[in-house]
Amino acid sequence: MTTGVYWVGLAAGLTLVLLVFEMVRRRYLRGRFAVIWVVLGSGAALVALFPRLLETAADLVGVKIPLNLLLFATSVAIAILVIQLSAEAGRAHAQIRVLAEEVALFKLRLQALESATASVPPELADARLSHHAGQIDH
Amino acid sequence: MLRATDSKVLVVVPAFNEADTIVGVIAGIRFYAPFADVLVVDDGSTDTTALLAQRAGALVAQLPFNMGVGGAMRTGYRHAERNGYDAVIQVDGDGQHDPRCIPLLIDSLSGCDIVIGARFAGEGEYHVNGARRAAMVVLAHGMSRLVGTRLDDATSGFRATNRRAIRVFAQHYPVEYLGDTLETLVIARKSGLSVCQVPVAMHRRLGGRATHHGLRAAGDLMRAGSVVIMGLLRDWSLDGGVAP
Repeated sequence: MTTGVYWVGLAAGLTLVLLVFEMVRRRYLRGRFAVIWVVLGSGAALVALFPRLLETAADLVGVKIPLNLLLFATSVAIAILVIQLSAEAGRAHAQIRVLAEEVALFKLRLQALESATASVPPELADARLSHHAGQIDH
Repeated sequence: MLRATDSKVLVVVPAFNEADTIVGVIAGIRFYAPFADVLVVDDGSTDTTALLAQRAGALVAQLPFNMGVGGAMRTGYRHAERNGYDAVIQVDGDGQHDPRCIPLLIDSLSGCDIVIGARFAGEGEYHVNGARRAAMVVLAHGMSRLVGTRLDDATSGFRATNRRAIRVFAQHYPVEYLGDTLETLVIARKSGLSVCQVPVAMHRRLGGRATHHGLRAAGDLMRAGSVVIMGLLRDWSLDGGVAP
């Protein structure tokens, strides 16, 4: 096992942790994901600093090549993360649907109100709204 | 100077399935703070909370789905900011907060940006047992040092805020568990807002599930820690700067 691999691991782990801190600072990351990534990044850095840990763990579990254990553990962690993200995306989509429906029904009520009170011409308000909606990227 | 007739006060009541208690809560607020407007933010309730609240004389903002206390509160703060309110009082919809203390909270706003009604500062018979109590004491000590004021009850949702704080919370109000109580205190400190505490009495719950229940378990101290750290790391600047 060349020491070069461990330096890369250390650098990657530390870079990940720094990246996570910056994303947290900009409020891009929710609490739970920040914690997960910090744990992963620190774990990688730790293993890189103390390779004996990985070797000991590999012996305990019965894996011949220590690096395989690391790769396997990483894959499992990523799989869990992907599942969590999928769940979040699903939930967010459900909420977006509800919001879209509410907006449509609001427009209906607003149009009825505006016709009744003969205020702002409905065409102008609707044109601006659909212009913005068209700019959403997919 | 904030009191009664001159100032425009809004009482925000976040409510999720509080059909049992909401009418009593609104009645209590209207009796002890008749000068205030009441806004119930229905956090996607599946029962008759919204209808009952409206009949009881409150304004009701209905969120299309459940967002948590933070989501409901930010909605209330946005309403307060857009309509030029001088103060916002947070009152839980489950009846735990004693409306008699509302005038006290408002009066205390003359010296502070945020006033917290604390349960353990001497009054009331609010009982919490053993390890949970110890964890809450540790938490209160930690938050006191962080915020720079004596805090006996860091997770109290019974609060009053002035215009400066309203402006901040209309933009930033965390949603996660303990985020709405602890992280808001961190946000306050990072935004340069002053925090005070007054003792209030609290009741046992009248029904259902508590909106704010201190720590659910002693182990929540770790969650509290991560929420606070998150709050300290994050950038809470406003789109326009905090008012002087």
